[in-house]
Amino acid sequence: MDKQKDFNFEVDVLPVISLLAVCISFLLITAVWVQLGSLDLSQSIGSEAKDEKAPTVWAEFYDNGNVELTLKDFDSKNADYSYAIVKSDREGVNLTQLEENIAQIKTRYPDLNTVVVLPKSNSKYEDVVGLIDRFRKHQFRDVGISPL
Amino acid sequence: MRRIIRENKENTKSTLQGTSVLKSRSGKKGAASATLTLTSLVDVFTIFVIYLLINTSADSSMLDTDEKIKLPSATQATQVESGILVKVIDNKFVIDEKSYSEKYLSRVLTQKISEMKQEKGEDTPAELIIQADKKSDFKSINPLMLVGSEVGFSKIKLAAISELESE
Repeated sequence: MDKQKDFNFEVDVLPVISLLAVCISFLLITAVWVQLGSLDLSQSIGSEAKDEKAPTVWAEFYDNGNVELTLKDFDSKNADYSYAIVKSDREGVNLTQLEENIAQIKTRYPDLNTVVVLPKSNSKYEDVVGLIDRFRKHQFRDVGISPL
Repeated sequence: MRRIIRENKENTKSTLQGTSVLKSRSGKKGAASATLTLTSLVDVFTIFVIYLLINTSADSSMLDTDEKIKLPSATQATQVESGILVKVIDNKFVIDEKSYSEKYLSRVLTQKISEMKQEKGEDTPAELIIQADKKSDFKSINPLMLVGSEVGFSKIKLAAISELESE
């Protein structure tokens, strides 16, 4: 009887597992789990002045944590219209209520794109960023900060 | 027929034979033995490695943060491409690991802008990236914003942690 040739199809997978384990350990140590980004501001440079007649939303912070939303130059008479004063809650600036008001403003005036944020010296940075974030979320394209 | 079946059994070998077989030491007939299937483990590890490779991003090195700074979060934060990074720590302004007071800020930033334009071209827009702790008062950031506008930054950006929008 002819002996059949023996073909050994054995694959040693232990080195592969070792290699993958080393790769995983390295990647886990070097992986970045927090994504960093930035919020762009629309600021005037030097003496350059923005179009002052464009309808604008002013978001003014007060020392007690209240924020007043004012519509400026939004009609032909260039009148100012205080839309809402959002009172602070236990945690400080009430960003949730502010977001509702921002959504209402955008629904009512969809062409309104310019916002100026006026913080006070004791306004928390996270509140300012949170407010700008909410304006951007509701499609206000030009959001700037008025320095003190 | 029995001989053919026996020969076939002898010729076919498991691909894992000899690599991962747990056998009982007694060697008695009928003793239990268990084989560990490593194929699934290899599949899991491969998928894990592919996921981590895709997730790893080299661009995040643009915004290395200081341990003293806890950034605010924002859902509309966009990826940072380039810019001059200034960290606000304890009312000091840190640029390239060097701390400056407000007095020298204008001079240092003007120098940084000219260095950047020499390196990347005169037409390159100068962008300022501000990193500050979320609990800090706006008055500590205000000088930087004022100077930033004066010295000629075309854009000012506020660094934040990207957060997913909750619906």
